[in-house]
Amino acid sequence: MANVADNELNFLPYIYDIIKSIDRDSRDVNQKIIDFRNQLLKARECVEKMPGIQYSRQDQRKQIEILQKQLTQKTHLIQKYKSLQPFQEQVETPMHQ
Amino acid sequence: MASASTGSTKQRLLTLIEDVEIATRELFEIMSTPKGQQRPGAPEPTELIQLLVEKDKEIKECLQTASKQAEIQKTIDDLKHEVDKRDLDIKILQKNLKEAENVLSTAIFQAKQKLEAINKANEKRISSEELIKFAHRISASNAVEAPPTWQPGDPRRPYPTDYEMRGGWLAKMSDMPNNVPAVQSQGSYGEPMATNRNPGPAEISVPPTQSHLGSLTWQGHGDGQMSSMGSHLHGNQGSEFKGHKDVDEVEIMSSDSSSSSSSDE
Repeated sequence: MANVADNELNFLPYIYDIIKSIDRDSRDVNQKIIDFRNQLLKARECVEKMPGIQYSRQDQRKQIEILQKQLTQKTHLIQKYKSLQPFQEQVETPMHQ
Repeated sequence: MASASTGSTKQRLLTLIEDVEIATRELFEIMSTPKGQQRPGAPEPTELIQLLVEKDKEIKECLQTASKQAEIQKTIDDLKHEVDKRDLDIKILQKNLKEAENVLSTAIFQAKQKLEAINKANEKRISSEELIKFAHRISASNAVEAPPTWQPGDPRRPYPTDYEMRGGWLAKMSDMPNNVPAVQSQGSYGEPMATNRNPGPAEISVPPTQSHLGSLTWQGHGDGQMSSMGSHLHGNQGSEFKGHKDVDEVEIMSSDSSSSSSSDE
């Protein structure tokens, strides 16, 4: 995804090509400008699709903290219920038999 | 979360793309216009190119940040997946606990009922000998099962006799004021067979609509029969019964027999 984005958002070669065409008074300038606009549209679409960039890094860090906390709490909760005495006995009973 | 936060990388990238678009439009306009016709105050093309290079640099930096953010996002997605798995585990565990609770509550309810029954049985103890004696008495009267050699006319009847019916709980219940007519009709109910065998003169002369006579009829010809049954079933009580011909006394007898049976309990 990063490589694709690098290519899509690399505008300088297009601009350089258009400047050269203007200097030469070339006929295909208009076409090149249209292509450049299309490239800008593609770049915008590419940015829309990039994962995780809708958040700032600070927000992401906060999100990770919250999720890690949730995960720890839920894991503890499951362990707590699984280590309840009746369940332990039930697990141990078949082993004794 | 903060999807629309102003500091997001996405927003920065979109702004940079817009800046590039505006700068290039300006640049192409200036470059395509002859120098004499350019509007005053228009920026130099080199300045715009410099600006575009700076913007490109910023875009590259933003892309690097976006690449790192994509990795962080992957971690976030993994964490979310794990949290979802834990949620599912908790839900399954909760469901199992609920089922166990239902099973246990049913078991406790049944156990309580059994304990109550045990306590009740302990309170009213009865010896097995007495129970067997009573069973013998019941079976000796042929009230449970007809004897194998039973024929019509045989006094050993495979159903409760009137005397036994009057000694039971149904008769006791019928002593209540609301049920008096029902009892009396019950008294004459058991009669047809006896009537066929030995029709008494009192029966023919008395109209059947008079309810108290039903019991009189029973008294009239059931006397000998009952005495034989009574002696067979209850020994002394049967001989006692022989001498009484009143309805009231019959009721006393029935209470006697019930009291004897209740003493068996």
